[in-house]
Amino acid sequence: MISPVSPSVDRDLLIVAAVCLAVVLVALALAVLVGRWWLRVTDARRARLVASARPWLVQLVAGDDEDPVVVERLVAVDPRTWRALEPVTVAMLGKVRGEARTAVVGLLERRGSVERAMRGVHRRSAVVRARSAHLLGAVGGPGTTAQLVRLLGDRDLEVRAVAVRALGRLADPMSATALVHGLLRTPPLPHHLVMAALRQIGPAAVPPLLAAVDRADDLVRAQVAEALGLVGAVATAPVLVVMLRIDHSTEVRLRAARALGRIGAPVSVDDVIAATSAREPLALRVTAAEALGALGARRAVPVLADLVGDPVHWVAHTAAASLAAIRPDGVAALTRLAGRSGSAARHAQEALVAANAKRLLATVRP
Amino acid sequence: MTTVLVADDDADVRDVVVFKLEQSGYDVLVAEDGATALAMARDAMPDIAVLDVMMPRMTGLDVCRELRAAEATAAIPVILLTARAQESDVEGGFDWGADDYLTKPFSPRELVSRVRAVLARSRR
Repeated sequence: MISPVSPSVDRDLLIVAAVCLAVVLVALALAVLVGRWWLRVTDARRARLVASARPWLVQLVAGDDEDPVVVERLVAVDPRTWRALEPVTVAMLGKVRGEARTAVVGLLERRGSVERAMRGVHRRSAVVRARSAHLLGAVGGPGTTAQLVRLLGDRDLEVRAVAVRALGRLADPMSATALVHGLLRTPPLPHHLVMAALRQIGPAAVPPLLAAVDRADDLVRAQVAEALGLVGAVATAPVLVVMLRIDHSTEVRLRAARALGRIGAPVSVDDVIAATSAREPLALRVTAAEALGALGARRAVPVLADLVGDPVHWVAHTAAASLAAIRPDGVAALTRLAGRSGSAARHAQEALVAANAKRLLATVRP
Repeated sequence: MTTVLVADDDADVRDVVVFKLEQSGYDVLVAEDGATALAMARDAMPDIAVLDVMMPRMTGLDVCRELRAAEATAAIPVILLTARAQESDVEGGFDWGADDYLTKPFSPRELVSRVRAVLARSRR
């Protein structure tokens, strides 16, 4: 039997709950306010500390010859000020080069920051490991690449991401293989960061990429094709052509077509044209039509002109845009198509207007 | 004294450039954005302007174009400072009459050499 609950108990409970909720809300609001105030105070304190030593840093970076007095002043800065100044110093590395950069690296070495970072990559705190990786990527030097490569296998995703970025910044060819293997591992490294890093490394990244073109995993092969396009090595065009021709995965073929467009190798034009055939998957046809525009080959013009009349809207639209990119033959073909009637004429007119607008935007003040 | 107008929204770059130019004997005017740089150029008529490409309110390219469009400021030589990723902007900069460009990360010493060279060319 369910015992009846008196209305007065209900009311009391409700009041207690409301008071508790109000107390929690007030406490939360206070915590937020105090937190914000504390952040403002620490930011202001940090800014004051930085301001006290920053003029010397600027003098060190901009000075004609490394002024020993300035260097000694910075080396003698108290630890609290240096903790505030160190991020500003590291940021300088990305803004200057030559003697100015050498002077900053020298300062970081004398302050022990580089040595601390070398030790920091082994620390338990993920924040310290990430910060150390960032500093090592900015400074470079012997042993740096090896330490950063080790961090590619870190248990923390953020640390792995910072390590990839740092390796891209160093652009040391020694790290190319490790970065490519990063695409193959489970869980993989952040794909877009690896791509950017490989792009920064350039042609030195090609051999490990070529070694991975036969991997069983479709996604890995697709990423390898994409990376080859980003690296831009013309010599890899035949490999990409084979991927485009015979790979069983549409994704791989699609990225190979895009890569060929990016590389701009004339040897690939016929195969990219073949990929626009109506027998091919739609996504591949669209990408191949786009790649033909990027290739800029005149012999692709009649093919693209035919595709502007394709019954599939997206194929026709992309083909028209690609024709607009091939000057002067593509634009002439578009102009002829625009004078006719039907959907091809509409696509051609739209592409011409878009191309003109783009040209105008480049010359007219926004 | 030769006056150089320096415009960059990055305080580190700005301070380094200003220090280096002052150390080399130039009188330096400083702006933190494009619109201020343009106003300062019209008021003070500097001998040369060093403009960052990516700035708030008005880009370095816009400032360059405005300088070239007005008769009074058309002859002020312009050096553009650009990130490597924006090097395609340099083409647009030359179209609008920029005299030289420098990519970031930059060498302060090289910047002064470029300023000297552009000034020498413009005075010939």
